[in-house]
Amino acid sequence: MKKYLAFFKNEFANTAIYRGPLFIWIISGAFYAIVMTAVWKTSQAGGMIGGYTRSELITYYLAALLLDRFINWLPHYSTNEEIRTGQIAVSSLIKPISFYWRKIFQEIGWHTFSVAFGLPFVLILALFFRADLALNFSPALFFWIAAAAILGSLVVFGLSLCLGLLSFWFTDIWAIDSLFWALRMFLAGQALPISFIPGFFQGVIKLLPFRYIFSFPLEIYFHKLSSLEMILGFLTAVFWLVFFALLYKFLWNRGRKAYASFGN
Amino acid sequence: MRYLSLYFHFFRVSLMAALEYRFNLLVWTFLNLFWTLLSFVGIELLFGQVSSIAGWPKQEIFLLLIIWTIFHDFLSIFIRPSLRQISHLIRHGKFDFLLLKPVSLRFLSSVQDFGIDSVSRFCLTSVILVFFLRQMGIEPSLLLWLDFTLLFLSGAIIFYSFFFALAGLNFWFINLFNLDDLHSRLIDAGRFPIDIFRGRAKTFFTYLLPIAFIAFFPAQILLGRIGSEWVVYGAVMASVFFIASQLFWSLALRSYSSASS
Repeated sequence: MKKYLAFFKNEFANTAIYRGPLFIWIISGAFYAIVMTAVWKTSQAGGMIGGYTRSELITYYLAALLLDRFINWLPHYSTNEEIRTGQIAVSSLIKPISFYWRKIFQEIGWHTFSVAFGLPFVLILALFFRADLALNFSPALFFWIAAAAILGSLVVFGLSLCLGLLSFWFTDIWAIDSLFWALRMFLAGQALPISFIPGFFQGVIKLLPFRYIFSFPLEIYFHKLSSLEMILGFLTAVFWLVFFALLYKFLWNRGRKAYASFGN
Repeated sequence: MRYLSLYFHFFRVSLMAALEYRFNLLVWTFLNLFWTLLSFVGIELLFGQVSSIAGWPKQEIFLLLIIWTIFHDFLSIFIRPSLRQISHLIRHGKFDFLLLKPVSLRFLSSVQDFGIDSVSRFCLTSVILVFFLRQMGIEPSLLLWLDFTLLFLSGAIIFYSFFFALAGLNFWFINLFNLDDLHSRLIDAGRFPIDIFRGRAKTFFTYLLPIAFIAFFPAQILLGRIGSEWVVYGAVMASVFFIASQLFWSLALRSYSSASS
């Protein structure tokens, strides 16, 4: 455990030193939230829009800004870098350290700083748009949102790590990365809430992992789910968590055998 | 003439590199088309719930999206690939090699690479624009096409200058590898009419950070809602942004200290 805590501390410090990229991501996200707020405020519609009130939609994109800081566990970039450059041979293959757990602790380190750094920006933006927000909080709601967000982080972590391990076979995974983002934008509810999508496809989306890496905690926050739907949601997310953990094991074992490292 | 020849040389090298990995080029071409398809589906889904955005009906929002895609691809072919590399070059001390060359540093930093994978979508969307306008009952005159092109190019110069100035931040904050994400978000905003903003926000996005030049003004001119005086305004804004970015870049460059051994 001690050795993984060292990875956590190291990544936390690293993120704290290079705050520039984090700042850029927050500004980019805030800009998107501002644009979408303006879109919803000027859209012509009768009553609810896709099952949401205007205030809920504005809150959706603002909350997404914070959720983005929390839930975006994307180790496939660093995994690809390690495999492509041969660093993985030194950092993991010859050391008694689990690659999976190292990546988890590094992600926790980066996201702990990321959330702390991003929170003031979200609060300032929330203060600015306070008249347009739909706020509702209770300890129970907070618990379920936190549980869904943590589970979502672990699902996206598993998915991303498996994508990263494809680098054992394909050095260039950027086309797959682009496809991942395209699917994520639409199937996770990032571009538009998934209630905008016609009924049949919504049923399919609920079975896929993408919903659980973004939309699910927000649906809980806005009380869009019945108790049964929440339970089914959590169970599906757990299924994907286990599925990606097993897939990771399979890819890791196969990939190591196929891997030919270079470098010094 | 020397610069023109260098420009074509760099373009040829990028083209040759892209054609060397033809399968990769094909995959990226299809992915770009897939993204465009998703953008259109997104607008369709949005208009399944709303009847207009800031007074713009679906058809006009589609027009904006087509022009936006052309603008996006124009930047993706000619501008963003080179600017994306600046951070890497500075971080790894390779920027020295550009400094040593007997050519304008700005020119050399701006023509390092080209996004060949966006060429096919750029061509395809340009053709779609012509047919879409015809379907809307708009047959622009040659003069109107000229005004459109000039406004479009003004927008490209404005955003090139702005992104180039942003790249200068790398001299102070060494590790800004994700500036391209900010570029994407800024350009994304151009998908919607500037009328979504009110008051000071509208002034800001029209004059100071003029995302209105991405698709809004070019669309407005094709729809006959603004006149040729906006082309002059575009040229003035492009000049101001170009000069300001040069001044900012020169200031930032003074802080460069090589990282190589």
